[in-house]
Amino acid sequence: MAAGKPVVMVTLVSSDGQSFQLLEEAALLSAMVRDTIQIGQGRGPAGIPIRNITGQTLSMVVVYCNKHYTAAAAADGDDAADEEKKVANKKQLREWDEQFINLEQDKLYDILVAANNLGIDGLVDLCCWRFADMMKGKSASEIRVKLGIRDDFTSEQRAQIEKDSPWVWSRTT
Amino acid sequence: METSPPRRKQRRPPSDGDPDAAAAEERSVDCLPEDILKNIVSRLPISDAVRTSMLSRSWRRRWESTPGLCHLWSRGAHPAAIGAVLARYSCFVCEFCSRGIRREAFHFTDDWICLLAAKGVKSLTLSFWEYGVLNVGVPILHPAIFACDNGGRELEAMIQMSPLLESLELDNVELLDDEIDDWIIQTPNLRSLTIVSFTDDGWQIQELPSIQEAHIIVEEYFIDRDFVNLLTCLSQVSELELHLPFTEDNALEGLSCSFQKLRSLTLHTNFNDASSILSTFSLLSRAPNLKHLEMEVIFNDIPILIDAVSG
Repeated sequence: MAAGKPVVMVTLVSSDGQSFQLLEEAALLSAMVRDTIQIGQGRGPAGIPIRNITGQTLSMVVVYCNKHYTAAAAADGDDAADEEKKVANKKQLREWDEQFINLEQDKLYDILVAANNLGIDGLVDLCCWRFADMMKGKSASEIRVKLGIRDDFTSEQRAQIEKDSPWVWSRTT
Repeated sequence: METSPPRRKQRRPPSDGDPDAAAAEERSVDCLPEDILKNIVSRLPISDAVRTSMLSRSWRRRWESTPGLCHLWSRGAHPAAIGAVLARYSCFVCEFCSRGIRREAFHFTDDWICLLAAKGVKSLTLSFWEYGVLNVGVPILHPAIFACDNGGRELEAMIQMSPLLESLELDNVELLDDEIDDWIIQTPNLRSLTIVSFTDDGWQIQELPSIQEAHIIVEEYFIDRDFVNLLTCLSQVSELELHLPFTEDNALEGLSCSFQKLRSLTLHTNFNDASSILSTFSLLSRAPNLKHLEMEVIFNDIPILIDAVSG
């Protein structure tokens, strides 16, 4: 962080009443927090209430925001010409992201919903990447079980689909 | 921070009571907003993305309207399926790549090209293979011939009608039409151009205002090819790879443009005769900002690699 800048903290309060304090700049990764602060709210001791997001999920979101804020601040301080270092830092952050999001599915789901409601684009993309990764190379029935999708095709529809698009179920190698 | 992203659709709040239990009931991806589901689909390989249409009714046509799908096909993909997928996909295609296209599948590519032109393709890679006739039974493949029905004119028209084309790679493309002398590569957004071939197919470059990177590796150029004009058209590049012609005189005599943006240069040249040395220096003297230079000296068919980095 640049010297001389006042340290401003904000408090996010989860739906089950847990409070999380973080640097305002880190919390600004969220469009929802940004909007709240822009209209002059959320800086008071009561903090910003985050509806529908439990403490367990919000704590993970806060970890993500802190990490990405710190990484962005460090990158700003770096020599802009040092391409190699930039690439290395980016790769490191990507590795951290992948480790971070390597979660069981229910937690991943909750974080995706939370990131979407809070408007944290990077975290939404990361969760979507992880969901896609879980779907890769799987059969339709495997994906249905994994992601809780109900097969609502009638047998006629299914026959029609198989007739129309034989490439859909035949695995391409 | 830039401007805030567009407002998101809010998920329905869970019913009263224990939020955890309510959330658990709702943890089906089908409860996620449509833009999120498309975000997920857009990250799948094309065959996986298409296969999501088998999941349920709401997934049936989702992939067709998911922007940003990468149409990268593996070698085993059925050519009819590739065409059918392209026909059903309703968004613009950024990237299309199909490798190892067999002879029996050549005719499918005409359809693909028409569909891709209509879908504003930005990056198009087609690589063709055929079985060597002399190696029947032995799966040795060699680069095949991209035989457009009407030779260069069709290719020329295709390139000109693709105003969004950013990257063009002609790898061992051979035009079979003898009538073609000059055909022109001209498109406003082309950033990267690669031409690799043994013989010169008579292409000419004109007005590539966005060109940044060019690789021109032709072993035998036409005797009367105008290299000064060619390089003048490429004077805006930052990265250039060039197979220098073996001519009696300096092929770059009279080069008057300056390559201010050129950072990286790879030359394949023959230091056997004075003309190729002169060509090399004609080019180097006009590239004041060159950072990386690599030269392959082709000498009695034995390449000798020289690496040099100058400040």
